[in-house]
Amino acid sequence: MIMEILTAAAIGIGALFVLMGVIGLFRFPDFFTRIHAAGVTDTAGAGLFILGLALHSGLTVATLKLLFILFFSFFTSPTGTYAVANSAVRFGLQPWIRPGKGGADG
Amino acid sequence: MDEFVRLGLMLLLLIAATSIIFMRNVFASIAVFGIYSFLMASIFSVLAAPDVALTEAVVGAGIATVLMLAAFAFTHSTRDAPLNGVDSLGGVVFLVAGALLLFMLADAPPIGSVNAVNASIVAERYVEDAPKEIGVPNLVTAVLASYRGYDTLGELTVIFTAATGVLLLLGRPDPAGITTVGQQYAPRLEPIRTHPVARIVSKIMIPIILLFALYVQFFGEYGPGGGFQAGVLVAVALILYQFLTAPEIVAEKLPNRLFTTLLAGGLLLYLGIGVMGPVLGGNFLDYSVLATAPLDGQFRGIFWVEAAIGLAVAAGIYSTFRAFTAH
Repeated sequence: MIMEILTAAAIGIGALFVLMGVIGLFRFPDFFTRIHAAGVTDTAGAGLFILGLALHSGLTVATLKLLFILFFSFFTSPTGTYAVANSAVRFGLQPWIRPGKGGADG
Repeated sequence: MDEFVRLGLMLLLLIAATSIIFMRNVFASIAVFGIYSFLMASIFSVLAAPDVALTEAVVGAGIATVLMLAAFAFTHSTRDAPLNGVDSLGGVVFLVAGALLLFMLADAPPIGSVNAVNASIVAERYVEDAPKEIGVPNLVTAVLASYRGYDTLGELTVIFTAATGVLLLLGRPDPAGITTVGQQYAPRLEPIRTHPVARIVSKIMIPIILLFALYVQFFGEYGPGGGFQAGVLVAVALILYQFLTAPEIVAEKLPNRLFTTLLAGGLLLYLGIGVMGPVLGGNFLDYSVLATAPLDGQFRGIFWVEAAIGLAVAAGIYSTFRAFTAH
């Protein structure tokens, strides 16, 4: 029972993160803020989903595999986001700055 | 009578295929390519495979021809007739053909129906006889590598042709010309391979990906996996390696020739195993004759066919990637 509640909570919060990520992806003004939102989907969303599934399947081989996936995606997703953002900077993409808050064109 | 129709269609197919190769006029070759697809569809329907014939007619003669004509119209500098306005005759043909297709769709069995031809005759045969005939625990591998080995050979040929096409179009990458994307545009910042985060994470991941690729390759006989998936994983590890390594070192450690050789070598290995059948007194791609016991022969054949697929897929995907990054 307690496991089921924890599973539901993890998957529910994960879904919330994915929803936030998707809203951010559409609403944020530029590439860097958007990739930040997409990163939330990749790490927090997917991570909580996998955690929920692992709680659900208990002490089995499936859980071990899920934990492996969690471990690897925990490192690879942010690194991927980092690499994409980094190459955007190298291509000369300027970050968006809120108008009137100073900065180059503020 | 049937034999004559089949032979005649085959002959026409041969003529169409050879004339496409020797044609100088692109527009004419596209037209003949449509005829080729139509002949192919006719052969399929003579061979009592109406679903394949429909697919060939729609995709080969229909969409592929339209796409090629559109591409031709967009790239040709001195095109005669611009593609604007709706051709009323074309519209009528489109509507009639579409209505016919939808009408025929009503006769198709529902998805997952036990009465569908593939579920009732073929599937039963595979499920009941594969353990005795092939002996591999994974039924999917038994079907893919042995029963339908000919189809899989075709799939590998498609990958080979696609990769060869990319390499021919983009040119053989110049060994010295490999650059990390974007490097030449913003010399003020270091490329990603010098960044500690990317370096450390990738260096940890590459061996694990390769190990997992081997697992997927050899586990294919027992569970999900096999050469196609393992080949993609190896290609991913190589792509990651290229991001991390200076272009000169990549060119030295992973010469282009290695991958073109592996691409062709994989396909040749598959064909060679297929030819071993007739040589040892069996059919083409019949693995039972490869060892004294038929099941051992099946195991041996599937192992090498999967290895051939893995090599060709890894080489094909990585050399395609390399061709793009070299530009």
